Amino acid sequence: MKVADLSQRDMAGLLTGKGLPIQIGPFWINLHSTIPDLLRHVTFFYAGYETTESARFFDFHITLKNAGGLRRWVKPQVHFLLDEYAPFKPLPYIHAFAMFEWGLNWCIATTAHRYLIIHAAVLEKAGRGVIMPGVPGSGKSTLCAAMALRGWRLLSDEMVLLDPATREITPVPRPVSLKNESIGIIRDFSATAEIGPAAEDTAKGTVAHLKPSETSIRLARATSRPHAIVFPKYQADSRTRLTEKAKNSALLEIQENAFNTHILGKVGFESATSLINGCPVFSLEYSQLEEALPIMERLVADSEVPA
Amino acid sequence: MAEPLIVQVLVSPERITRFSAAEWDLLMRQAKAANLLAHLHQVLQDRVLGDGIPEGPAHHLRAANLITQRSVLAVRWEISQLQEALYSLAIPIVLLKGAAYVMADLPISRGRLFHDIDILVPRSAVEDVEKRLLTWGWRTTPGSAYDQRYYRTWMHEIPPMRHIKRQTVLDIHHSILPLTARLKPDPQKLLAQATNDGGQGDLYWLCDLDLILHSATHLFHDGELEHGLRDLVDIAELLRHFAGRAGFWPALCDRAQEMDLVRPLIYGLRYVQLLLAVDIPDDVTLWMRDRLPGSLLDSTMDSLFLRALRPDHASCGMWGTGLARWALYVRSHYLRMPLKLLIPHLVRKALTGEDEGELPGEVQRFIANNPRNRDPG
Amino acid sequence: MERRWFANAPEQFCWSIWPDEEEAVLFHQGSGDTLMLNPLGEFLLKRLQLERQTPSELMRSAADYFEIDANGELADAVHLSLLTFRSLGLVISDSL
Repeated sequence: MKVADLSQRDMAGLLTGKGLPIQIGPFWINLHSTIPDLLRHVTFFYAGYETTESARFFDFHITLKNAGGLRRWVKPQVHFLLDEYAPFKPLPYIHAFAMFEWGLNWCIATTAHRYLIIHAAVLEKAGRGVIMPGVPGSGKSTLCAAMALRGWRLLSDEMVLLDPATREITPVPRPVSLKNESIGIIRDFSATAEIGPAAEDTAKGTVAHLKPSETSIRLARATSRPHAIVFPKYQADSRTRLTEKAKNSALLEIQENAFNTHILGKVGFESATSLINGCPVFSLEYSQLEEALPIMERLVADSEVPA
Repeated sequence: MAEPLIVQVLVSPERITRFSAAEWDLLMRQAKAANLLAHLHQVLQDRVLGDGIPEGPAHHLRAANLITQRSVLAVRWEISQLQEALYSLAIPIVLLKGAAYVMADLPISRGRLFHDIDILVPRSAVEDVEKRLLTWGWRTTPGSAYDQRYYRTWMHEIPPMRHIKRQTVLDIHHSILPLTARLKPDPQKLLAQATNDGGQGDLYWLCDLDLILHSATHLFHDGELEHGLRDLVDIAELLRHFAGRAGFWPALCDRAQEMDLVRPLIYGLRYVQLLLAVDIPDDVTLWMRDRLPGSLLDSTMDSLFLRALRPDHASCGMWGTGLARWALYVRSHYLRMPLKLLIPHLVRKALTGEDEGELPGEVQRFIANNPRNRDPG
Repeated sequence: MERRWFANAPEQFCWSIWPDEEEAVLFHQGSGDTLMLNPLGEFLLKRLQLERQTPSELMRSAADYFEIDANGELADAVHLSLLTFRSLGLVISDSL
């Protein structure tokens, strides 16, 4: 049963009552919220996700609620709760849906230690996965969004869930988070891009989300194999350039970008090493999406890159 | 009253084989809230019940276990850094609580998460230790001048130090109860009995009996009861581990007497027996009865503690849980300080700053969980 | 008397090395740090994983290994490396 199969009224009833179950990648969450913005966010972005009517085990019980006190009349705020625990300070009310997405990232990154969790986007074409780690400002999200709009299957825009034993990547497709200028760039890039409302003045600037394709959501249970790793670097006015990257510095950056390398220890380090050894690693400097995209296409095309 | 699921499972782990999905969900929520997930994993593995755990909860239990394994390595490493920093002072460094369990390689360290590292050093050496650690990247955590003065004048520890790079928190104690407490355990005696398993160097940990006594003292006098069940499990596991040893029980009672810690031990034993079904021999029960406080006081305490020791999760809340924790917070301050000091301290705590985080957890919760919203019973 | 140094928990050193790349990657489980090391650093740490060494012993074996002079410059480099490793908690001294 899909979230879309619920009437708007039932959905609101669940969100404010016993919780709305949503399956997001390998995780089941139970979401509680009385905040109208969040109901709209879920209706828009999560309609195609699985839900259930039967009692089950949930990985995360998540609640977003108004902060109480007199303050709510002057400067309304929203709390993110994992079960009854508040890991963050409350945020302004209008940031509720962004907080939900960040909060869920945090839940996964601090819990799902059956995976090596790398801060990177991962997309797939023709059964071949491309991992794109990226520091803020690298243009990772913009490139990821553009690829998703050109028929790539989105596995995640934020986190690679890599199985240390099989080296397969488990998808956790979610709304792609776009920041600041990226929002306009992606609107211009595709007239059909479905982008939600923007939250302004967050810790990360203005944030809006791009809806993943139906295929990406439908194939959320299908794992993928890494075929190449690309470290993107957006550089205004630069020529587009793909260069091979040294394995040692790639490993160092993967370790730095992994959320749980300290917890997985040796197992994590070895799986990062075998990831690096198992596929070619590149740096991609770019300023124009239309120049970067064909390069990404060629990476997964037959015969171009030996796996 | 029905015990929370987590308590039921700790007492009878095989119950999980009949659990529904909803019961698993609740069990995991309670275990997480009580910080007992890794311990639950250990208990179920020890009883070879791993096959009865559904996939969803199993992932979370294994993840908690991984975190514990990692933190054991991290604690050992942090301790090596402390040794490196302090060795030239040539003073004994005695590990307490979690760090002691790790270095003594007790089974309990396999199911426990670690937050702070606690050490005990001679009072005369505190200043040197603090100075030396400053040069090794440790900094006193910022607090108000009031907090600083309070710690340094009345407490059994100096304000916690935090490592600037690693964020690890270190608590440096020179005693295990505040200087103002009514009970007066002599830190010299703790230092004298500290052990290092025949190892070399200046690194020690409390002897077995003192580990138990300190654990009980910490729980029943420190007033941080949100993790009360977690701490009670520590006491239970330590007792179960050492109880097989010949002469253990009389030695424990004697040591409690010698250390002026009879009262916390009696509370510890009483509640591990009541809540976690730890076997206490009859002669020890008699010894306890002879020393128990008056019956009225006792039943009040029972009802307060049995409420307060429940996991900090709404599903475990009974009417008055918040109230019980609040009352015990006040009580533990009363036990630690003369009344003239107590009153200004609590008032000060309640009014400090704008940050709600400054309020003791119990007070915040007490305010938030206004009992009017709860159904009595 | 010179202090002797040794690797802090030698079994917790995890190395990744590529033959065509000069610098090695080290992950240390205790500290949780991942580092890139030049050949001298790699040599010294691997040496200290095997046995306790004084700085002079280390310098002599480094001179042999790299086939260079055991001069003051090398002594300084060894000394500096040890200080760095010590501050990272990778090596500890014979403090007994």
